[in-house]
Amino acid sequence: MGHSGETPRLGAARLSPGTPEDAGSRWTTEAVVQCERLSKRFGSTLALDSVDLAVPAGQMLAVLGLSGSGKSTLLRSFNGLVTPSEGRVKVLGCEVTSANSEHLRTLRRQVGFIFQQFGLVGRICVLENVLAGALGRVKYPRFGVLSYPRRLRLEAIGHLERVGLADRAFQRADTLSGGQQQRVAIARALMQRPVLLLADEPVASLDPESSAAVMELMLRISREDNLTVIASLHQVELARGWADRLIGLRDGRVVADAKPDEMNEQRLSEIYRRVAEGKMDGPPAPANAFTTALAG
Amino acid sequence: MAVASWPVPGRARVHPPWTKQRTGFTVLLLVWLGVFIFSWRYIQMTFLTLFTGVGNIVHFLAQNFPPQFVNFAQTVNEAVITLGIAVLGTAFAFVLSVPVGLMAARNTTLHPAVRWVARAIIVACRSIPDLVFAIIFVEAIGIGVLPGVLALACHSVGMLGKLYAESIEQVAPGPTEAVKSTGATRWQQVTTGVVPQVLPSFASIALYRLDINLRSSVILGYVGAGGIGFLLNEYMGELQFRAAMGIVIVMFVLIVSMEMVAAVIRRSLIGMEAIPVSGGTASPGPTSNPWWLRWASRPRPADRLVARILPPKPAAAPDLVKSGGFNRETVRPPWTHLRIQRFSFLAGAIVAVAAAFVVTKTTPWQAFLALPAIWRTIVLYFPPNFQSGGSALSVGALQSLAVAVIATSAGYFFAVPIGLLAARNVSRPWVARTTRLFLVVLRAVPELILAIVFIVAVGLGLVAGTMALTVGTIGFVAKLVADGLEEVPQMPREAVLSVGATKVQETATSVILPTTPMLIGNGLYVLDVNFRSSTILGIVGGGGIGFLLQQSVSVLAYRTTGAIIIVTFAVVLMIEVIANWVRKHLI
Repeated sequence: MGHSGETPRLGAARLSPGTPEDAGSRWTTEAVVQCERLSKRFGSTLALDSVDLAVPAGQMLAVLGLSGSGKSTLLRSFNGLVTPSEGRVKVLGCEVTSANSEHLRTLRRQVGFIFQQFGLVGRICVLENVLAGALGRVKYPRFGVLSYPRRLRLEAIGHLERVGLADRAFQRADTLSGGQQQRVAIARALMQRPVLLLADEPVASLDPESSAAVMELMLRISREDNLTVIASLHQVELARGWADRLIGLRDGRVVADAKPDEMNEQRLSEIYRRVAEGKMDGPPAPANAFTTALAG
Repeated sequence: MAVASWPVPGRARVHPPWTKQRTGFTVLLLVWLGVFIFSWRYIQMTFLTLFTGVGNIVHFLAQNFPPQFVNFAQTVNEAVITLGIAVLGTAFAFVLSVPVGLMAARNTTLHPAVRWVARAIIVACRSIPDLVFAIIFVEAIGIGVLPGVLALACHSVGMLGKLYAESIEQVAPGPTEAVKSTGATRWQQVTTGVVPQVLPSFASIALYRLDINLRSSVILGYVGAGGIGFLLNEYMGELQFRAAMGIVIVMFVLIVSMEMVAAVIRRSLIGMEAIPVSGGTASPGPTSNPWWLRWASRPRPADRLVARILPPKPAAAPDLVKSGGFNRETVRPPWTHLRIQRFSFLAGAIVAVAAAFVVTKTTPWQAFLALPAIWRTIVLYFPPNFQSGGSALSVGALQSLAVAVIATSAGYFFAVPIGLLAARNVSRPWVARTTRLFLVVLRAVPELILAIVFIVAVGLGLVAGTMALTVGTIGFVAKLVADGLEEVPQMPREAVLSVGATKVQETATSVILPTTPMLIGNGLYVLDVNFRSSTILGIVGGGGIGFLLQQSVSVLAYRTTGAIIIVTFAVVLMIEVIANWVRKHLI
């Protein structure tokens, strides 16, 4: 990474041997993200149903699945934006399930999160949005670009240059196109100097051209910085193109886990079965007054 | 064949079903009608007084014409102080309302319990009229400007805090979640994720409140809380009606000019928002900036130096906001139009508040020093004594409620046609413009002054108060109606016209009908406002609970005053609970 963090990082802890209670279990120490029997319940719906997963360092993992299959919940439980109902989650050596708010913040600092809707504050300028990525490293609330030290402002410009938007630094974030906004969001994640990048449908609200550009950028940066990436995606082809490993979620359960070339049609239909069924068994189109009139 | 396929009238149900909503709505209208008839008889309102009253007013005005400007310099001085009181009251209210609003909003509060406390403070502040606060504070710290400022501030927290909490709750959750995901603390999430999103609406709400506070501040002097109202009270007491009318005209000019200034500022605030959201390639269009903006955004030597050092950037898409050229060494925001505008707004606000401190000869710490005295006075009001007035208390509350009900109903009755005339998309342009002007004039007359005029016309009592409130309601509701009508979308109107409807049918179906729920939803809110105003009107002889209040204050029966304030609070709270229920279930 080449940066020296101001705050103690958990990266070292992740390489330390596990606690004695982990000795007999399947918990390995190399994995960056690990979860065991992870379940999450929202009211009466079960968003995640006993998920077991281990993601080693440097892996690029794509999570496939229908809308509502639990992809977002899974990713959000990795940095504590969602608190699991049952099971354990360990990310970068931090037990997310039992961590206090201080530990959670320390964890979140090192985990970049890319949202489907970008999560930019539209009314403030691009640079201040990127600087928000440094909030975990600075004390006190900040308001306005000039409330951040110059050193951080320069760093933020550097990240913006990396995503190709340095000339837009002082433009309002909501004047950018969707693809540009997602690139700003990537710059904000870089500002966190992340070890792990979580991306929740990063290109779902973009047109095909900008999706390709954003995915390409995310990927290139991840390879260059040696980041571990977990991204949830709709598009199977896009996922096959770059991921080292694909998992499929259906109704909150892992129904497929394979390398890209092993992910065949049968496995895919396991993930997307509802769509196929829906196409076959859908009710016939209701006859409207016009067709009835014609028939009569 | 086409004719044969037309539907034949059968046994299909064509009457709308009695849904919970429809039943409730009918019941509400019937209840309102019953309450209205009861109120009308209870305060012995007659149509006759209404017409003799108008004659009396015309007679009174004619007799005291032309108005006199006695000691004009002093009048202007008091008017400036009044403006200062309004500005300071709003500024204090802003400072108090931001934390209260943050604590009252679901998404930024520290704890649910804190949220309920904040909401209780908001309701309490709103339900106690500013004039009542003024009476308490004058009692505590003596005649002067400070009690007026504090009274406006306390009462305004009720509105600002509520609206601020609502706009915080409406903030898009995405950005805040994203800021949270970077490991930011709770307060960092608020300042980075929430505050930038709500700041413009905070400013525009405060500006609106300043407008309202100026209207209130002209009458604060009536109870000794400083400003021009003090002169009015004096001249009225000496029966110098011509001089009093001169004062009213000065008040009127003050209020109308404030409304115009507020409109200009609000437009520029909206201008700051009006940035197209379209990929940053929106065509700039022929913009002609004022000279000072052009001057402020001229190329500077530093920029040229940067341009020489840095390699030329690839030609970026032409942006509305010129933002590319900034110093890569210092990374400071460039002085774009937007930033200049934002700073000038902030600077203007600071200068206005500073000037207000100077003209009113107050200092911020005076308010803090007054706190112990205020506390000592408030303690006197407890425990409230509900017994001393006997049944007078409940009778007074009922009278005030009846006044409010009649004023609201009668106000709506007159306001709807006037509002139709004032809507640009319903009536002819010149009619709309004239009616709008009339409404501005009508709303610029404070209700207390209307009450005084009507008392002169029909004598002391509830009828005068009712009339004053009715006129006030017309001004407020007619504007509401006109604004609501003008917001109606254009598309359905064309559709209705295209089926061959007449202009009147079209207006009824596609303009008036969609606006009705909003109007009815606001009806209970207007009732709430009118009840609070009717307590104020009692102070100048408009009857009701306000009359009792004035009496108990003048004989220093603190604990009776406390009881009256608590009864007022309870009635306002009751109306608000009913209004919330109606809004939630019926509209």
